[in-house]
Amino acid sequence: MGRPRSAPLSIRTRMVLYFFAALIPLTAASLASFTFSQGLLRSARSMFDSNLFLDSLSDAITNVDGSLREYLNSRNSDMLPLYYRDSFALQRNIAQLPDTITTNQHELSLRLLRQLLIRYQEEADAALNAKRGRLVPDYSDHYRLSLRLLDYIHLLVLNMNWVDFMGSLNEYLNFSQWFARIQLYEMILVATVALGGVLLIALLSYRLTRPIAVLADQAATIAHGEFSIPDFEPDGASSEVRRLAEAHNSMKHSIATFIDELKEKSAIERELMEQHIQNLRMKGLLNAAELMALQAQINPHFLYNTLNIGLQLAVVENARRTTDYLDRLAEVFRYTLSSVDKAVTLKEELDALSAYIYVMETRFGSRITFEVNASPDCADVRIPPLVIQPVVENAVHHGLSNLEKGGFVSVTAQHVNNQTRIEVKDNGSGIPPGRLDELLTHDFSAEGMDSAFKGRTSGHGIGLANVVHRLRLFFNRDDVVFIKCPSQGGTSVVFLLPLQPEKEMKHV
Amino acid sequence: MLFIAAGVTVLVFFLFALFQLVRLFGMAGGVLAAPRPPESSSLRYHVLLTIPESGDPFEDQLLRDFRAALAERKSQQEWDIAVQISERFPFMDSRQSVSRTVQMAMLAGLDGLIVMPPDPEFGTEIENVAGGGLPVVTVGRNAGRTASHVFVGPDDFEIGSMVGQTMAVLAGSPRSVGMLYSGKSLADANRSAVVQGLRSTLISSLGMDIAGIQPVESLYISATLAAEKLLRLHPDLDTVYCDTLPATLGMAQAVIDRNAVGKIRIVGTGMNARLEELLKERVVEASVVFDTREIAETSLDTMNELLHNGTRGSQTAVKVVPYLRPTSVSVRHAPATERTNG
Repeated sequence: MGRPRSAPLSIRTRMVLYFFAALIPLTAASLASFTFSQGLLRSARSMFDSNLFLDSLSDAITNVDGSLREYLNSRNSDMLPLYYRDSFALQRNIAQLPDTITTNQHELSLRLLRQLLIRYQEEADAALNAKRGRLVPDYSDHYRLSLRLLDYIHLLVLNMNWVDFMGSLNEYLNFSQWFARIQLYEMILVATVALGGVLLIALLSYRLTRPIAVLADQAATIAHGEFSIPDFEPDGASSEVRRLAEAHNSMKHSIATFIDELKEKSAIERELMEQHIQNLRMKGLLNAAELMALQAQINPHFLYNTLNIGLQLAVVENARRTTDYLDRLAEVFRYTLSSVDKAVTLKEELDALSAYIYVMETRFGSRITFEVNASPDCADVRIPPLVIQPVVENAVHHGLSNLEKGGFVSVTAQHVNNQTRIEVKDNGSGIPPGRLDELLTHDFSAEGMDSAFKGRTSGHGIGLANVVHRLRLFFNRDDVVFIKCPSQGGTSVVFLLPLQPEKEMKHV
Repeated sequence: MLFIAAGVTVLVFFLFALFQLVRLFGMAGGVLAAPRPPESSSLRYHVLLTIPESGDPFEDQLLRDFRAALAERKSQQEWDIAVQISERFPFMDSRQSVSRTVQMAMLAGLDGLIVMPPDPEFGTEIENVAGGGLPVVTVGRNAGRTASHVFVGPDDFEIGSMVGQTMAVLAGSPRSVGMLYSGKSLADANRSAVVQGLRSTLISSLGMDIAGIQPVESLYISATLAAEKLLRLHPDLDTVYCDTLPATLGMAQAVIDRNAVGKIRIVGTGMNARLEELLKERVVEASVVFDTREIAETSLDTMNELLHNGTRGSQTAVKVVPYLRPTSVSVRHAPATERTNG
């Protein structure tokens, strides 16, 4: 029992997934590179901002020192406003410096600078005030100290810039050594993503088009009438292709079923047509046989009616033998005149034959002996009517009629090897070989029948040929009648009839 | 198959590049966001720390240990002390830079100063600053004990005694002992505690005095020249003590140059890779190693006490922590084959 298959993805979903699979790593790498570049830039910008601020501080304190020096060296107060202006500017710069004590080294340095600046400003103010108070030694001391502080402040600013620069430089150097490698691997990443994209597109197009191509091949095969190909199983295909495949398979089955039905119907129609043609032929033969019988017996109905009158007279006159004779003869006529287009049982055929034999025995007396032996289990075998009597008649008229005595005709019927074997055998003169071939290959077309009737005075056996042809048609096979004429004389006509006729004739 | 092979190859390269990028970004990110100690604001005391950067590994190691101690100690916030580590000023030598820093701390009115004197003579400047009311802790190198500042570092006298004892247990008693002293003059040397400790031990243990002392600057070239001078002036020396790493390396080079390895035994100071090799080769018999981390920790503790006990500006209330605990000083011996006393 396999794992339940998950629902196939649609073409759109697959394309979106492939797209993201290719794009996300590239985007991530680019974003990371961008972020770190920005970080480096921010670091450099921060360093430059810090440098600029410290430089402005140096400028401010230099200005203060300049204006203070000029004031101290002058004899008037003209430079005093300038000093205050510079001093105010310095104060604004000092106000930007942090006064909080933190563990951040840079902020501690700024605070140290702030402390020095404040101290400087105090000493500068003290020098100025001493000058205004004309306390020369004091302002000289304060000014010297301010100069010393100025020196330290410049030194500290220089040091801070230097430290910032070295720190940023180290940061940059550290980063740059990785940046080159980062660029290299980014190139590799981009190249692999591009190649992977190409492969993914190739894979996508292959997986999309392969089932469709297979489907097209199958459709072409089906178009050539080959429906036995296996169903198309689009493993791993998209949902759209799967639906297409299901529709294709369903359509294939529908068409195959429809064609099979058409073939079957066509076969049935063909068989029916063949049966119809056989029936027509059989009817033609029967008509021919009937015509021959009528011509042979002039007018069987007239004779039958006449015989009936004779039979009534015989009954009235109490002529028993005559009565029996006429009764059997009438039976022969009745059977002959009965519907000839329906199959009869062997029993019915043999009953009619016994009437005929009675008539013949009456006619020929002891010259011909008749013997009928039929197995009871053959009674229900269905055969065309008037197939045994014509053979017996043929034996009597063409084989035994010239015999003065000792004529013998036997009729046997039995099941042999899943067949019904009916044999009419006589000890007459037999049938000439040429005539025998003619009987078995007689032409029952209209022209053939005309020819047969025209030559009737010179040759007999049309009835036997008719029987042969009707049996072949009835059983739809040629090997049903066998005629043997041994050299010592006599004729054996054997019907080998299938127990189950392949196609039983309803109308014979 | 070709398609699968191409796909696998591309995937392998892709994963390799991605892995490398993640790794590099991590490393680069570590640089950009450089690890900094957790920052605290609104602290109370602003203390300046300055240590000379003359190339002496002891100084470098001490500075690293200060940084480590500050980074690891959350108690920095508990102390209310922010320690600013002074960078060496550009275009100045180590002594000038330390001197300017000390003056700057005093003029700016900071709350405290932790300083390692560049040399013993620096004590005067420290005394001036401390005398101005700035709490000062000197570390690593003693620049003269006064009541106005605190020294945290090795006990020089004890070091001298330990060196003397070490010499006494070396294979074969020393016949003549000399010393390279990191100072300017012989007078300074004779006044120094380490010389006094060594001399005291030699006299008591071996009944001998130091045969010769050669002052030396803390530079390797100067030390080599001073070592050659000492050996030339005292050709009978068979054991020499050097009180700095450069002096030790200089003496070792001089001994090697004289092809006197094994004949002149060296007891040095400090440790680096080169000295490790010299110890293995038995060029140097032993070396005095300082526990710089202990010095850093103790210095910070001492400054904390100075500030929180309200001693600022009061010389009499300054707590003196004169010497580091003896356990902080160890003597690392070369692999001895005939040692009689561990």
